[in-house]
Amino acid sequence: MTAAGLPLAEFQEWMQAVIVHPGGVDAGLRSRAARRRLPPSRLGAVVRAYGALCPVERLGIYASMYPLRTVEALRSDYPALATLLGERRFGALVREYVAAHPSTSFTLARLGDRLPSFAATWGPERGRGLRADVARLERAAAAVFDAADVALLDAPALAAALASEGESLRLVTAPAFAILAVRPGAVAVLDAVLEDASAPTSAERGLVHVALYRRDFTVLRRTLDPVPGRLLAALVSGLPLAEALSRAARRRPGARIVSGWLAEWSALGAFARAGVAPDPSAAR
Amino acid sequence: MRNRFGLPMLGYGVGLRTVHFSDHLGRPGGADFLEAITENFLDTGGRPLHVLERLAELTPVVLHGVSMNVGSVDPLDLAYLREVRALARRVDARWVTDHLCWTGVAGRNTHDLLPLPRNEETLAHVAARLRVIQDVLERPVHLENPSTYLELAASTMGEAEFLGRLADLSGCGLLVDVNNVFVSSFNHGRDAEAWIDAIPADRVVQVHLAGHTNLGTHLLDTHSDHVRDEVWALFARLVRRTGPVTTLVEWDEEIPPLDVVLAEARKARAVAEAALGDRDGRREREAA
Repeated sequence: MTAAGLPLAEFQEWMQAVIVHPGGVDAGLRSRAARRRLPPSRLGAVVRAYGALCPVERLGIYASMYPLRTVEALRSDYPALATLLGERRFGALVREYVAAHPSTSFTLARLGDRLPSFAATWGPERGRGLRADVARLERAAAAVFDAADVALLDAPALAAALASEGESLRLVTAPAFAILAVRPGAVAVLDAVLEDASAPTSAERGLVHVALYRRDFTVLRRTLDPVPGRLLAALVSGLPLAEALSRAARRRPGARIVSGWLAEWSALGAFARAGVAPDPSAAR
Repeated sequence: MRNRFGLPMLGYGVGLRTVHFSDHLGRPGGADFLEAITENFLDTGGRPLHVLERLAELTPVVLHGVSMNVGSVDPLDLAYLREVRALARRVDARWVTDHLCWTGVAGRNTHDLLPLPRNEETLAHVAARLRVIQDVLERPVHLENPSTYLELAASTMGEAEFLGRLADLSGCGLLVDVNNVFVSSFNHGRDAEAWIDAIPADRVVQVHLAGHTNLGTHLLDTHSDHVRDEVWALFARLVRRTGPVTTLVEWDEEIPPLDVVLAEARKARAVAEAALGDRDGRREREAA
């Protein structure tokens, strides 16, 4: 250490270790990462003492902003999960999550990328699956919202591709589309938050398939019946139509029914044109 | 005085915020220009980018970043800088700004504007990084003075002097946040007017105005209220030195209807015009 403070690199390592410590500034100052650069007794050699606040209180201003900012960002991305858990438990989840997965991106929008898998192992075992499913739905909705716009496979192009490829047809999922298998209770929680109602408890068992798609830059959601849900999930996973059909149902649905479903999903913007149908601009 | 970059005076603008998207689209031209938070429009192909592109066709746009991390000892994030460059081209951004600060180290981002010791080591470090940043962005970057809440023992010069020397060394311009000048001066017992008088006026490309929160022991830069009278007075003092300068009102918490923010931008125009009228009148009297 120099007479007046730390070299820049050491100062930054020290200050970051102090202000992001989940236990607060005092714990941060005593943490091993901080003490490696500066013993707590030497704080005055780095942060000047003056005015109404002491150096610890001044560091505390920065330290207090960190949890506020992360909780606010994740509450904005996961409003239903926050409602389900309540303010105090959601705050605790975020503190533990951010300590385990600190932001490494230029944007806070990426901070919550791993929250669904974290929620799946966090807190009391009872309700973990529901919390994780709610988080997965909200993460998927954010991804659909931010996804790039691409040329979509419209109904005529889909019909042409189906006629040409038959059941060996493989479809390419549009970036702004997702399908998830979740507990019915997770859908009920999202609905309740949208309607500003209290989150219901659902006794329904099993999983439902929920499609998330985008229209006029708004993310919309649709719950699918079991057979079409499994079929669409299998297609989105990249399986050819024949294999997807075998996976979706023991008894194959009729070709006309399948065509109807495919047309319906293409209208939702489920499939990208690229890789499935010829580029119409290439023919010009 | 015109800034040395020859950049135009864009007028009196407001920060583009999600809650006002529909208002801006429905009534374009309410503000002379718009400032977009850079990171909110990177890594997205959704509505925000679509709205920004639409608005950029109607109103001049500038980009204001919070993650350039110019003062960090971490390597520069070149992928981020390339994305900023692409966005700036896409929306024809008139210029790009960020903050004199560091936001994280060891690969982490605290998403805060953290203070730097103002000394020769930091000056050389930040100037070198700024030169690379400006090369990658293919344009000058203009740096803002952040609000700060602590002073570092390693600092050997004042903020205005540091910014002026940094601008000389790196070729960057300055975004003077007048509210931050007031907040930091209050928090550290410094003279805000002396700060305004010391900043090199020909480097000032843009001005920020905002409200803050008084917590008794210190001021917090919350952008949650109207601009305070003391900040208006400092703004007038600055404008008398810079001449007409592109000025923006920021409002980020407890965001009111757009009309309230636009009224604050109109007030900025009136304050600037009155300040310049005073200045020019004084000069004429002195010449006579």
